[in-house]
Amino acid sequence: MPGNEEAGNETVSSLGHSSPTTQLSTLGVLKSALGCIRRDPVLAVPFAVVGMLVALVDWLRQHDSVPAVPTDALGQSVSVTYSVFPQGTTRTVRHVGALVDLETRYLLWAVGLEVLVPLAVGIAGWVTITRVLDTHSGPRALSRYIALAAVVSIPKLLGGFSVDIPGFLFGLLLLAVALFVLTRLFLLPALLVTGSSFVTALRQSYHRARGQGMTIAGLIVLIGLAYWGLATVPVAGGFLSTAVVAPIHAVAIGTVFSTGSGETPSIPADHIASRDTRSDESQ
Amino acid sequence: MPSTRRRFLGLAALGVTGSAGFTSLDTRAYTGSQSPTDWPMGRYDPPGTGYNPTVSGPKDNVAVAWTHRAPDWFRGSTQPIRRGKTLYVGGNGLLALDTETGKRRFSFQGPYHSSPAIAPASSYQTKTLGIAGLAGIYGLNANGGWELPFTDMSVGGERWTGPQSSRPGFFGPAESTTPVTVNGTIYTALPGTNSVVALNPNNGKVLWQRTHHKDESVSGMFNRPAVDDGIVFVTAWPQQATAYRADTGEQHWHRELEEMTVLPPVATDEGVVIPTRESVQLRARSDGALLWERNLDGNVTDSTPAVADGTIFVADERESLYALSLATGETRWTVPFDGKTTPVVADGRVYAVDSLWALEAFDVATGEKQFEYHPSEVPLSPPMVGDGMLYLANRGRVLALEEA
Repeated sequence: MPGNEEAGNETVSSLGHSSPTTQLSTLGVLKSALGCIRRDPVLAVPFAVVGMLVALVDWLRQHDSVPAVPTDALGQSVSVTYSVFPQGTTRTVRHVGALVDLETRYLLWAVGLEVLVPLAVGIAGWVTITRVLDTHSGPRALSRYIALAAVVSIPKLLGGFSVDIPGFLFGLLLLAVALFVLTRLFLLPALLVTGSSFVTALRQSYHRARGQGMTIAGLIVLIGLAYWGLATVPVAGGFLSTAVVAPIHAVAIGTVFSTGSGETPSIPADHIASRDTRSDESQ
Repeated sequence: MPSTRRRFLGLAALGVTGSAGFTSLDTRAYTGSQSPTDWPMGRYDPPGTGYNPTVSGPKDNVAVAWTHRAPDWFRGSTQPIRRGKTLYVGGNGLLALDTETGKRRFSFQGPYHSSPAIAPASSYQTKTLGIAGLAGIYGLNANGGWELPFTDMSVGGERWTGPQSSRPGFFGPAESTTPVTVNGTIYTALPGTNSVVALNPNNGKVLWQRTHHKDESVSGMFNRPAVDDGIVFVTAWPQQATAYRADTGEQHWHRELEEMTVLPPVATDEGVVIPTRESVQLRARSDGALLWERNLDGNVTDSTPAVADGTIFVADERESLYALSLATGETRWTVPFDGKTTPVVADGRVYAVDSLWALEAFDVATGEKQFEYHPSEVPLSPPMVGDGMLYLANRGRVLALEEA
C-alpha cells in the first residue's frame, strides 16, 4: 500500500540509475515472501515435492552399499549453509571418492541419485522463481539455471570447501569477503530465470545488489541458518530444510529482484514503499 | 572426517580434472583369488597365527635387497601386508610399493596407522583395505584411486570413514588392534573404545558392535580379534575373554580371567591360545573352559604369540622367548630374549623383532639363533615373509631383506 511504512522498509535511489529503486529490510523481504506464499500456496509445492525426494535420497544413501557420510554442517554447533540457488541442506552427502572403481550397476545407481537431486532442486527453483516473477522463460533459461545450480553443488561432492584460517581477524576478513560475494550473487537465479545469459546474469546480479547489501546479507545469514537448523532435525531434516526454507528463499529472491527492477507483480503492496510515492505524498 | 587440507585438495581437484582428466594409478585389477605369497592382514590370517606355511624367508643371514625412503609424513611401525606384487604399509598414511623393486605405486597421507587388511568389496571392482587410525576405522581403495595428472593428489583413495571414537588413544593403536577380514567382513577393535565391531567393507557400516563394561568407567580396548570357523575371539583388559558369532555378534561364551592384563588371542584347532601378563592359556573353543595354563612368570604387556604346527612361540618380556607345545603347554625350547615381540613363522624359521629394534631369526625346531639384524632407525616393525624375503616398516622407510 503506497505510503505504508512497514517494519524497516526504506527507500533509496541507486546512483547511476535513472529509474527509482525500492529497498526492503531483511524482515520486510521475509514477511513479503511469506505473504506471497500464503496468498499463493502453489509456490510451496515444487520444493515440498523435492523435499520428499531429498528425504528419500538421504534414506537411500544411508541404506545402499555405497559409502555416504553425514553432512559436515550437521556436526557443527551452528552453521550457515547458504547456497546461491535455493536448495535445502541434505542430511547425507556422497563424495566423489566413493564412486571411484564402483561396479557399473552401483556406479549408475549412485550417479543417478546424485544427478537426480540437483536436477529436481533446479527445476523446483526455476518453477518457483518463474511463478513469483510472473514471467515466462524458455528451456534455454531452464537449462542454464539447472547447469549452474549443478555446478555450484560440485564442491560438496568433492568433499566440501574449507580453508585453514590462521587467525580471528583473517577469519573475519574472509567471512566478509564471502558474504560480499554471496550478496552480489543473490539475484543470479532470478536473472537466469528471466532469460539472461551467464555473463549478463552475473553482471546484472552484481549491479542490482548495490545499495541492498545489508538487506541481502541479512537474508543470506537468516536463510542459511534456517537451512542448517531445520536440517539438524533427525530423519526429516532434509525434507524440512528443503520444503520450508527453499521456497522462502526462492520467493525472497523474486521479491528483491522485483523490488530492484521496480516491478511488483507478486509482492504485496503494503510491504513496499517507493521514494516517488513518498515524494508524491509530501507534495 | 576428511582433514581440512584434504577437503581443500578435493576442491582443487575440480579445476584440474576438468582439463586434464584422470589416469588410473594401477592397471591391475585386484580381483583374483589369493596367491600363496599373499599376506592379507596383520598376523597373516584371521586366527592370528602369524604363520604362512606356503612361503619362506631368509634362512641363515640377511642383506638389504632394497630400501624405500618414504615421504616425510610416513611413520611406519606396523607389519606390512601383501597382495600379488604390491606391499601395503600403514603409518600416518598408506604406502603401496612394488615387492620386487620397492618402487612406489601410490601413497597418500591420512590418519591411518595400523596394518591394513584386504577385504573383497562386492560393490567395487577393487578390494578395500580396512585400516585403523587413532580414533576410528577407514576403508581405502586397494588400487589407490585416481591420480590427478601433474599433481601429487588423488581422488578416491579413501572410500569411507567407518565408526569413530571421541577418545583417541594417546599413543595410537598398537599392532594388536589390526583389522581382520573374513568372508567379506571386517572385524576390528574400535580404537579408543571398549568395542569390537563387524563392518561392511563396501561402505564401512557397522554390522554389529559389542562393548564390554558398557555402563562402567572401565576403559580397556579390545586386542586384535582372532576369527576362525564363524567365531570371533576377543580379549581385553581387564580379565576379558569373549567369543562372539561372526555373523550376528551374538555372544558365544564369556570368561573373566584371573589375570587383569590379557593379550591378543590366537585361534587354533586345539583351542584358543590366550596369553596373559604372567602365563599362557589354552581354552576350549566351544565354551572357553580352561584346557591348560602355563605360568611363565612373565611380565607381558605388548607381545603377541605365533602358532605353527602345534607350537606356540611367545615372549615373557623378561628374559626368554619360549616354544611351547600347543597340546600340553610344555616347553620345547627357550632362548634369551628380553623384550616385547610379535613373532612370525615361515619355513622352519621364527622371525622376532626384539623391542622394536633387533630382528632375530631362530630355528623352529631347536631355537638356535640363525642371524640378527639391527637397522639404523627405530622402530622396526614385525616382518612379513614372502618370496625368500622379509619386509619391514622402519620409521621413515620400508626395508626388504634377502638371504645374504
